[in-house]
Amino acid sequence: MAKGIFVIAEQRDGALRKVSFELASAARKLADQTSDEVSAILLGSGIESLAAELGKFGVDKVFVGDNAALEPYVTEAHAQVVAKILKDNDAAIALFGASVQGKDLSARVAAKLAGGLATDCTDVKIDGGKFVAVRPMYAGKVFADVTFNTTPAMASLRPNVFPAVENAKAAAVTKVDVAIDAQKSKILEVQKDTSGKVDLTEANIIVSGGRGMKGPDEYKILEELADVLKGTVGASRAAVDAGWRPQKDQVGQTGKVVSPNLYIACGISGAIQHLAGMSSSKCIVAINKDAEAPIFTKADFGVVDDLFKVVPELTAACKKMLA
Amino acid sequence: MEQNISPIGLANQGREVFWNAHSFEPFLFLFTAIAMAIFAYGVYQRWKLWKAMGRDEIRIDELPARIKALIMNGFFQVKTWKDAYPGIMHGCIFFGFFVLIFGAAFDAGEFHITEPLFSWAFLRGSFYLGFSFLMDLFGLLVLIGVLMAAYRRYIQKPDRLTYKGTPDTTADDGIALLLIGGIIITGFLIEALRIHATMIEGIGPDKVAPAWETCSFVGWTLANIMSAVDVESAKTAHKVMWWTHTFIALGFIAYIPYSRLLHIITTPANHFFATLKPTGYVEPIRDIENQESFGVSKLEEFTWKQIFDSDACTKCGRCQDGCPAYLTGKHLSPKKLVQDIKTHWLEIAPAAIKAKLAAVPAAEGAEGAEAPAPVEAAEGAAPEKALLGDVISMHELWDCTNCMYCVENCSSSIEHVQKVIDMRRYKVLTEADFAPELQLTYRNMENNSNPWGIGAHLRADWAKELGVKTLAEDPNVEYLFYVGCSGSFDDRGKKISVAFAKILQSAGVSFGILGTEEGCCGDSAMRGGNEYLFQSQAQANIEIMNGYGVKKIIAICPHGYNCIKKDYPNFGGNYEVYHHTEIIADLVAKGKIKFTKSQDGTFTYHDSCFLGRYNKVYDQPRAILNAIPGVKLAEMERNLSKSFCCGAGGARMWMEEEGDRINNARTDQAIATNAGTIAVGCPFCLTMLSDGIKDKQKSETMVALDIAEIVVKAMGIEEVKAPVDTCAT
Amino acid sequence: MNIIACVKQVPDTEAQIKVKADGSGIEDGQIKWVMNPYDEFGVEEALKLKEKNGGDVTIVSVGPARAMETIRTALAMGADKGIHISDPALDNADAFVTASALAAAIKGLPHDIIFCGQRAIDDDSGQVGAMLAELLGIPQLTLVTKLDFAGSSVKVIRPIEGAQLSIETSLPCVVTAQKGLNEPRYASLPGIMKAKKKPVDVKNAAALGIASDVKAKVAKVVPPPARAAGKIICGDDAAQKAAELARCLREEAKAI
Repeated sequence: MAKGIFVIAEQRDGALRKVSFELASAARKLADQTSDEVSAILLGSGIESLAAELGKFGVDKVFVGDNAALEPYVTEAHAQVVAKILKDNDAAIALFGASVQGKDLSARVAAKLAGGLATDCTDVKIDGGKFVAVRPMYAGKVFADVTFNTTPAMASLRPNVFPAVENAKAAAVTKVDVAIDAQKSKILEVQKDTSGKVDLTEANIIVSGGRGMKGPDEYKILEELADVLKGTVGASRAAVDAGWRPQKDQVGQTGKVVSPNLYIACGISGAIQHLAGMSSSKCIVAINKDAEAPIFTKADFGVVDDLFKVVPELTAACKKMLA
Repeated sequence: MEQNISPIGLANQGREVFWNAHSFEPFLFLFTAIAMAIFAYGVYQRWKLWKAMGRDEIRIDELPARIKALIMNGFFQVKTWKDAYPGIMHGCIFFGFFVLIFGAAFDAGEFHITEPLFSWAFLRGSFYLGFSFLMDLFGLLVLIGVLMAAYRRYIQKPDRLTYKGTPDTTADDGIALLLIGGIIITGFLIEALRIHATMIEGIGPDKVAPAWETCSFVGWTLANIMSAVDVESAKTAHKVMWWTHTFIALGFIAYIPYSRLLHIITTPANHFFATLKPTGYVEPIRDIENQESFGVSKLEEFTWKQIFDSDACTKCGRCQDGCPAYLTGKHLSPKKLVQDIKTHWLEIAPAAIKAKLAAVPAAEGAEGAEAPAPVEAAEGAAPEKALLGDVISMHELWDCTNCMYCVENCSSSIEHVQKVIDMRRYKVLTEADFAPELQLTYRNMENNSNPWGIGAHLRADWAKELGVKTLAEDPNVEYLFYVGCSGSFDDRGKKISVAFAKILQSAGVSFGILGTEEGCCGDSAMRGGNEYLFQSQAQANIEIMNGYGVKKIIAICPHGYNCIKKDYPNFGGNYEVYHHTEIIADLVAKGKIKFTKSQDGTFTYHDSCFLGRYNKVYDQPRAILNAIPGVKLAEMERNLSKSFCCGAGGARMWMEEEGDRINNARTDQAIATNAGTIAVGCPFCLTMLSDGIKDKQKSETMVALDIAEIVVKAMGIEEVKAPVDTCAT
Repeated sequence: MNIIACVKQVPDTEAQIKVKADGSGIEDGQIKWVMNPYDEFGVEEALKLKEKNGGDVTIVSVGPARAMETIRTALAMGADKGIHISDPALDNADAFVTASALAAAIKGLPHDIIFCGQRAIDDDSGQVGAMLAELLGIPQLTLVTKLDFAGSSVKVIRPIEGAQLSIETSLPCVVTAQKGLNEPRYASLPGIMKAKKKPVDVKNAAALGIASDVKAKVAKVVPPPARAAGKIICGDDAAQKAAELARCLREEAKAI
């Protein structure tokens, strides 16, 4: 019978990504319930030393695939190795990160193994001896319990949801040597964001300003907050029309429709045109001195106060918190 | 011949026709014939151009109504009078000329018909004196009109006679004025010279100087000025002047078909052909499922009347004077649009005529017929301009707010808006090439039956706590309250719905709503060229309404009000439709609404286009406001039929606006009244003016409210909402 | 060029999603069905490629009878023909079964490039594109925001966290479309009319020779925990309110 909970660790440029520890901790928790073992799969080139770090978060065994062909990440090569390890070891459960890379890889691996996969899970549990993955559907309007008819049961876990808990284990390294097929895809260029700013539609956090900003120079305080939160600055139509912000920054019916994890609306009253462009944001914060502003009816958190006082304080508070 | 008629003399006032010019008579006939021939040829050529292009359209039905329009607008110039200066100016020229032509006809009729045939000379005695006085008076009026026109065009130069400062004036305008002025001046000089000469020579067998010539007061005055001139010189001058007058007059006639003077024919004709449909009715695309092309992309896809419109245009600029797009610096000018269509038509119509001629013999296979004109020759010339893009720019096409100012104020009964919609239809339906933000709006309407794309299941949420029943719950009500998208989904608009529902409840009116069965009225789709979407929305609504046997409808949005009233009948939806201000005004008049709370302050009322110009609901909103204690009503300068659009009509509500915003311009006009409240009757206007107040930083001193909201306040039944929890504890 | 675009019919983003009383799924009576927006980017890109390089665009969709509307929508945008995989046995298909059905249908067709949406907005799975690529044994390019066609290969831009990758892949391949790739066109009315006459093959599971048993099963669905009413942050002054807000965002919303 299939046994072993596998986590597919994710590293970039020789450093493990945070989601890898979240996966390890989640796996540990499951393994402790079923007296099972947690294995990690770590692929790349010159990354063996990272295995120990995984051990800190409860990984018993680490399968290390160290091969120049595995660096940088190319889907097909990674999928080939991961699938082989899962299959060779008759894994019961495999957990991926629901990062860009994890989503890309997990589906390919699932197809190779003709297995079931649940994406972007917010919870995983053992229910009646069976592995159950909980995941949002319909943009969070519904949550589903997913069960699996094949092994390994595969799930990708949403980053930032599962806590990374230290729990030192041996992390015994097993080297895996797989002859990797010639690749059809080639990475030509990696262009790192130097600005640290993402396009509005892809941003996880948006700090947006409206008519209440009073002028173009005042956006500096929003930019400072966005910098701290690694977010992007947006604007309402009023601000764009007034020429305070470029058109590309406009959020709303006639601008960009966004759905970040966090949308902070500063000095935006919440005209329907604006709401149509951001109401699918997962968490909405409104900062406005007008308590009657319609934006408050849509906000998860509201601050009724002068944004010119609140925003700099918020920047300072977040800076401290994220330090 | 003349022996039976008593000669003109002291006791027999009159004027000798062809005095000093008897020998000219045959020449006059010859030249007149030539002038008339030139005139007839010109009209015939124009006739061919009118017939050259355009789809069929019936505009000769309902003759009594058409004749009435012809008399009222063509003869009495009702539309022209609406602007004082140009109205008086044109009235002087038109009525002056009209009377003078009658005078000439009297003269000619007497001389050539009644005198020779019946020995009856009627221009005698006191009738002659009155006649002569009138001739001089109206001649003088024409001259005043011409001088007013010259002053206006060449000295005053109002913006409407330009396009963004570039004057429209061509030589033609000057020639027309010179001809008219010339006819009058030479006419007066002839009269003066005749009076002068006859005063010296005397008239009739008794050779007496007729004192009654003072009736011809202009000629008399001029004659007195030339008292030093001797008889022979006067007679010579008279002859010269007689010919000058004749040539100018005949030249005028000959010139008509080749100049702006053609409007003497085309404009009254256009009044006759003018639509008899209610204002703002949009001709649908019938049998849309089985059409192959949609809307207008080439001139010939317009109807003949739509093209003829452009030939009735006098470039007077009334349309441009209140066009919200033009006045805020956009590309569109209704005048330029019509003139550009005219220019394009005159460029391509000759080739169309040739092509038709070529097609006929080919079809008939007639022997000896002229070889078909090589079509290539016409096409080989400069490549034909595209109507959409070259003649009418996309900016112009999409700048229009459908506010109807141009149509309502056009003195030639030109129908601009349908043309705009027809051209938009082509861009949207056939090419699907239009603004991305409007595409999003249409997708939203398709998927959730509202322009914002908010879940359709939320449509009736505003009514949840009001105890308003849906027709599904109780179909036995007098009125259907058609809420519309703003009143259902827009947080600001919902307040109007709530206010109006409370008014109806309080006044004991029996009504219900459709709830989630209601759909978008489709007005923005229709006016934005998406006729297909409009028809699907209209049909869905009609199916539901007819299913409940709805007879009377109240709408709080003039857009739904207007299209349900005027456009839904095309698809089987026939209802009595009211705007909520009509209903409220009626309830106030019947004493069913009592105002208990004084609303002290100055209010200004903004006439929404779709309520005012479209439906002539001007008085009711004002009557309501005037009935509220404490309300002081201050009118904006542009009001009633000359009201200024808020910028949201014609699907512009959903589009980005370039440059100066129309709503801000309108807000400025409201600010100028020093009112604290802008009262409106349209949720679109409310959004636009509220935005304007914010943009103009007037939120502290000014607010925009719907009439229903003001009424609810004055009735003292306003919902007192608990303020958002601001951490009191 | 032989271009395939896979589409799925999904509830409109604004549709009310009600969970069935027994938790077996959602009630689909009142729902307005639309083409998955990410698939629309794929269809648009397919049409653009066709317009530039010639060839034809085939739409493939797995779904019940109503999914035909979505295929027609894609045909109205300008695609040439469609394959509708419709079989009651596939009504509860998971990503693997769906990908198998698509792969079986596409295998029989010439294909140079296959477009899918990066995910469908109903199940939010985001697996089908990659699975389809694997089942066809061809490379995958997921979450693509820019695509350049260069004869026998494509070059794409693919944003990942904090960086953008530029990747080149030989054809055939699967591309999954992300927002930003293009602006899908609005179908013209002649397009809508013509679409009614374009050929659509309807196939069932047996004809494709695929098994319909799912690997991952949605055992139960529940509505999300009721969204707490918005919370007004209290505090004596702006600094206190800001500190409390930061705490809430961190601890309650887990947004930062």
